[in-house]
Amino acid sequence: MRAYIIRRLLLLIPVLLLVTVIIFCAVRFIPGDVIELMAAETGVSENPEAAITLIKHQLGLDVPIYVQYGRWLGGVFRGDLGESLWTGRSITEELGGKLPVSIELGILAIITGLVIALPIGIFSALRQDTFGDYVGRTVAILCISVPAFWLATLIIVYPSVWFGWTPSMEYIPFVKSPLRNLEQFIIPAILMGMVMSGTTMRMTRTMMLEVLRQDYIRTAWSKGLKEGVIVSRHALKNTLIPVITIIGLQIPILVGGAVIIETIFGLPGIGRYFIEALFRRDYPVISSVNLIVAGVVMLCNLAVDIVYAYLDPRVQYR
Amino acid sequence: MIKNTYATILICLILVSLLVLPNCTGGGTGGGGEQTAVVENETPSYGGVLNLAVVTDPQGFDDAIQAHYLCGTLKLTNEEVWEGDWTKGQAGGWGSGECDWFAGGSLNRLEHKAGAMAESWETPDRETIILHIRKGIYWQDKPPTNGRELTADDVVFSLNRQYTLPTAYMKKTYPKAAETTQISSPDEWTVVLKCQPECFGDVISMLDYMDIYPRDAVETFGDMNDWENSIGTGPFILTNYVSGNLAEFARNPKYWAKNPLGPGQDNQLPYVDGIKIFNMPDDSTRTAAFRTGNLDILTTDWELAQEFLQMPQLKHVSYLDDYGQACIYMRTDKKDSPLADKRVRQALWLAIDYNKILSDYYGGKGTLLKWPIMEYREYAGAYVPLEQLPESVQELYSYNPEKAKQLLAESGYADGFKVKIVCYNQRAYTDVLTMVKAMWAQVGVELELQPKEYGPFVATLARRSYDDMFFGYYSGVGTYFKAINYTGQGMYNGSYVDDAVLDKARDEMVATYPDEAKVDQLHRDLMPYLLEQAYVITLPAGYQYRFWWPWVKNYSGEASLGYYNTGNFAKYVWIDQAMKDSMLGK
Amino acid sequence: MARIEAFPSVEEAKRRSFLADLFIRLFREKPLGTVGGIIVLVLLLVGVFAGLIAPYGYNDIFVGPRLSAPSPEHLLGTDQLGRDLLSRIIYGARISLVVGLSVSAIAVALSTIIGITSGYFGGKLDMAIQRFVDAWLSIPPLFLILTLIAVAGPGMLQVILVLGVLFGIGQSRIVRGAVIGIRANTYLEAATAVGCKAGRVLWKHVLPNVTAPIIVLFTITMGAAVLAEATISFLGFGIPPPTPSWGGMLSESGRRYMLMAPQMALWPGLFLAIVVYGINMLGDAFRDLLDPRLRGGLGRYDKVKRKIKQCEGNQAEEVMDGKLSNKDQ
Repeated sequence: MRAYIIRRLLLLIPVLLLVTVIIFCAVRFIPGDVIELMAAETGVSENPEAAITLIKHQLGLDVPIYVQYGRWLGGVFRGDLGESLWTGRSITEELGGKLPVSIELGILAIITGLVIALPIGIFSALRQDTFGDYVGRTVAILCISVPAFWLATLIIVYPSVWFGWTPSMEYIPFVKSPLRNLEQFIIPAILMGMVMSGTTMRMTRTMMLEVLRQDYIRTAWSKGLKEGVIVSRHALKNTLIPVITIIGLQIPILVGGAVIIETIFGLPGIGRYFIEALFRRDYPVISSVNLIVAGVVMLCNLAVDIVYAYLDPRVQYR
Repeated sequence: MIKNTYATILICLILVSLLVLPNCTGGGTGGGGEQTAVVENETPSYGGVLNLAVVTDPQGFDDAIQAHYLCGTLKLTNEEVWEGDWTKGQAGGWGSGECDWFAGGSLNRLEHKAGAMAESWETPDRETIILHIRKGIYWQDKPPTNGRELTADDVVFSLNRQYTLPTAYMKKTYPKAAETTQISSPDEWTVVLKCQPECFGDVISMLDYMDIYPRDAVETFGDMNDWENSIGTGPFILTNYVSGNLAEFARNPKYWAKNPLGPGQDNQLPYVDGIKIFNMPDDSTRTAAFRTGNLDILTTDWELAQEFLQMPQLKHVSYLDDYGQACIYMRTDKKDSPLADKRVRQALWLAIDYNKILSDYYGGKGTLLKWPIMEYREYAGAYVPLEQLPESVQELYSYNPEKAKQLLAESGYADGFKVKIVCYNQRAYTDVLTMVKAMWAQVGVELELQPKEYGPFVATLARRSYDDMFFGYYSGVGTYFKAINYTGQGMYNGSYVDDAVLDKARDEMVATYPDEAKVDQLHRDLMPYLLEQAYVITLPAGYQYRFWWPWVKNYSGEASLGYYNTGNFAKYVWIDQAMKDSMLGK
Repeated sequence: MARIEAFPSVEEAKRRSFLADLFIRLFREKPLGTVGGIIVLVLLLVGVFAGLIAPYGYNDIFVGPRLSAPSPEHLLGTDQLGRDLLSRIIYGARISLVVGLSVSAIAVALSTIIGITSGYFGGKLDMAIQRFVDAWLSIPPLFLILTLIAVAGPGMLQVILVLGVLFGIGQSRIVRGAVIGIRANTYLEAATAVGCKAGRVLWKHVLPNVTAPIIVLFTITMGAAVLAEATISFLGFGIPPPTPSWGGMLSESGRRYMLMAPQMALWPGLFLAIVVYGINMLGDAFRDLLDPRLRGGLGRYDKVKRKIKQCEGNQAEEVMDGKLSNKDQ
C-alpha cells in the first residue's frame, strides 16, 4: 500500500507538469492578449505602438514562450507563484485568501449534498419502480437539469421582492466569526449541494440496487432480520464505498463549477479569481490557479482512492 | 406496467401545466419618472455607514502604477490638486446648479473646479501653472507619515512620479508632455509646473487625474500599491480590503475640509462613520441588494429602473452618460470600400429610423445626438442641440429610406453591398445592431454581426483592426478640445478620419485651451461640418437612472465631482439612521 | 405441482433485434424512461422541422409588442425586440438538438477510440494516455471549457468542438474500464489465436460488448452538453446572440427581465429543464435495462418484502427464485 501511495505521489509530478504546459500554451493562444487590453487604457496615446512595446517589456512578455514558462516554473519551485499582471499582487498571497473560501464552500456543499442525496437515494432503491422511486429519481434529475445560475438567481431575486431579504454579501473569515461566516455561506452551499446531489443520488440508488441483489442480503432476509437492520448493518456500508468515489469525482466540479455561485453570491473564491483573470488575460494567475487547483484535485483523488482501499477489503493496490 | 407508463405521462403533463399557467401574466410597464429636486433643510447628523457597490474590483492602489480609474479606493482615501466643485452642483438644493455631476466620470471643465490640495492657482501664460498649496492639511495617522502636515514637496514628488515612472498613466499617455514638463517647488507652499505651450492643455487637464501621496511613505514602501500601506489626505481611511468582496473605510477624524454650504455649513466633514464598497459583479444581485435596502445608491438603465420608479419612497435622477455608449465606426480609409464615399455613409444614416430605435428600445427617453460629446449640463456651452443644427444635418437624423436608396444608386451601389460589423457579444449591443440590420436590409445593405468576447473586442478597439465596421466606444467629453474622436491616430478615432478641416479645428482648439468659452465656440462652429460628413453612425442613447434611499441626505444623485473621482461625493452626505431603521422595519 | 406450473411451455420466441428489444422493454418496464423517450422524440421532431413549425423567424423583430404576455398571436409572448418567443424556443430546440447530438457524437467517438485503444493495448501506451487523461480531468471542467472557448472564439461550431473534446476525453475512462473488464475473456484470446488482426478483434468482439455503457454515455452527454452550453452562456462564452440558444436566452435576457417579463425566463428555463430531464431519464432507463448486474438475481427487493409481509399472516407458499404466483404481475 505504501509503495502504491508513493508511486501515485511521484506520478503526480509529471501529470501536474503536463497540466501546466497545456494551460500555459492554451492561454497564449487566446485572441486579444493582455498587452492590447492594457494598451486600450492608454487609448489617447499619441503613439499606441510605442505604448504596446513598453507594456510588453514591463510584463516580461517580449521573450519567447518557453522562456516565460521556464521563468514561471522556476518561480513555482521556489514557492513563488508570480504576480498578477494587472494588480501586481503576489498570487500566493491572493490564493491564501481565496482558497479557504472555495474549500469551505466545497466542504459545506459536499455535506449538504450528502444530506440530501443519501436518504433519497437509499429510499429510491428500497422502493424501486414504485411511485416513491419515481419521485426520488425525478427530484434527483431535476436537481441536475436546472442550471445552477438559474436557481441562484431565483434565490436572490424572489425573496428580495417578497420578503425584502437578500443573503449577506460581506465576507467574514470563518475563524473571525463562524456564525456570520455561515450566514453568508449556507445558502450558496445548499444550492451547490443540491446541484451535486443529483449525481450522488442516482449513484447511491444504483449501488444500493446492486448490493440488495447480493446473496448475503437474501441470507439476512431469511434469517428474519428487520428491513431497517438489513439496510443499515449490511447494505449501507457496501453501498457507500463507491459513493465516496463519486464525491471524489465531483471535487473538480466543486472547485471550478463554483464560479457561477461565487459570482452571484459575491464570494471571493478561486473560481471568480480564475474567471476574472481569464477575462483580463492575466497569464500568471491563470497558470498558477490551474496548477494549484489541479494539484488539490489530484491529492483529493488520491485521498479518495486510499479511503476506498481502506474501506473495501476487496480492493488491493499493488 | 403499461398502465403505469400512461399514468406517469399524465401526471407529468399536469405538473407542467400547473407550473406554466400561473406565470402567464406579462410584466407591467412603469411610468416615466422625473427628476426630484429637493432642498435639504434638515440639520446634518453624524454617524452611519454608507453602502455602495461596484462591478469590478480595484486593480491597484497607486495611480502611478495602475491606471487611476482602476484604483477606485483612491478617490476616497487620497486627493488631487483640485476636484469638481460641489457647490456648483445641486448640493442638496443649495448649490448653484450649473453642474449636475451625475455622469460617471469625464467631466473636466476647469471653470467647475474647486481647489483641494491647491487652495488657488494661476496660469500667467501657456507655459506656466502656479499652484498655491493649502495649509492645514494633514496626512492620515499611519506610519511612517504619522499625521504630519502636507507640504508642496509631497505634491511635487507625487506629480513627478506620474511624469517619470514608466507605469504611470501620464507618462504612457502623454509621453511628450511627460518629458518636457518641469515641476518644482520654489517654496514650501508653492508648486510650479513649466511645460511646452503645445502640451499645456494636456498638463492642466490631467492635473485632476493624479493623486497625492506622502513622500516618506512612498520611499519607505517603494510604491503605494499595497492597500495596507494606504495613506492619504482624504476624508476616509481604508481599513479593510477583501479582494473580490469588500473595501471598508472609516472616517478620517483629521480631515481638513468643511461643508461649504447648506444647513451644515462649516461642519467638519465627512459625516458618515464609514463606507462599505461591495464588489458585486452580478446585476441581479446588485439590484436585489438595493431593493432590500442593503445598498444605499444604485445606478441602472431605464428598463431596470421601471421597477424602482414605482416605489415613491425612493429618490432618483435620470441623466445621459457617455460611458459604455457605442457608435458604428467605418473604414473610411479603404479607398475601394463603399464606406469611403460620403454619400454612402449618409445613405446609411438615412436608412436608420432613430426615433423608432429610441421609442422602441429606449422607452422613448434619450437623445439622438450623443457624439462627439454627450449632452451634459456641464458642457452645455460646447454642445449644439439637434434643432439648432443646419437642415442638412437634421435631415440625416430623419428616416428617409427612399433618399438613402437614391444616394446609394448615385454612388454606384444600387444593388447594395455587404458589410461585417465587429461588436461586443452582449445583448445591449447586439440588440441595437439587430434593429439596424433589419433597417438596412430595406435599402439593400446586408449587415453581418460578428460578436466578440470582451478581450478580442477590446483588442480590436485598441488597434482599430476591423475589416468594415466596428461597434465601439468613444472618448469621454473631458478631452473634447483634443478632438481625439475624429482626428489623429489614437484608438478613439475609430473611423480612421483624416480630414484637414478637422485637424485644423483641433489645432485651434488645443491652442486656445484653457480659455474654455472660446474653445466651446470653436467646437460649436465645427459641429455642422463634422456631423454632415457622417464619419461615424451614432445610435440613440437612452437615459440612465440613479436611485437612492431617502435616508441618504444631502445627496442629489452625484457620482463623481470632477474627472473620474467616482465616490468623492460621499464626504458631503449624511445618513438619517432613524429613518433607515424605521423603513427597514427594525 | 407448483413447480411444474411455473414452467410454461417454452416456444422458440421470435428473436427481436437488440434495439427493438430495448425500446419495447423500455416502454413496458420503465414509465419514466418512456416519458423521457417521448420528450427526446418531440425534441427531435421540433428541431428537425423547426422551419415548418415556427410561425415567425427567430430574428424577425417587432412582429409584436415588446415584452408582451402570451396571447393568441404569440402563444408564448414576445421578447425585448418584439420577437415571437414561441419561434425562438422552437429554433432553440434545434440548437439544443444540434449541440446535444454533435457533442455526444464527438464525445462518444473520441472516448471510444481512446478508451478502446488504451484499454485493449495496455502497457506503456495505456500509461501515457492515462496520464494525459489524468491531467485533463484534474483541471476543473469549467476552467478548461472557458479557456478553450476563449481560444476558439464564440460561435456554435467552436462550442460544439470544445465540449465534445472535453466530454470525450473525460469519459474515455469509463469506456476503458469496460474494455478492461472484458479483456480477460477467453474469446478474445481465441480470436487472436485464430488469426484475427487487432482491428478485427476490436471491431467485431470488443466494440459490441461495450455498447451498453456507450449508449448510456451518449444520452448522459447529450443532457450535460445542453446544460453546459447554458452555463457558459451565463459567463458570456456561449453561442452569441441573436442565435436563440435556450441557455443564452435564459442567462442574458431571462435574468434581466425576470421581474418585468417572467415569460422570457420561464420558457427557456422550463424547456431546458424538461429536455435535460427527459434525456437523463431516458439514459437512466437505458442503463437500468442494459446493465447486466441489475437484471434478475434476487429479483425485486420490494416484492420480496411484500411477500414476506404476506407470509407473516398467511400460511407458507412456495417461493421460488423470487418469482411468485401469477397474481402479483
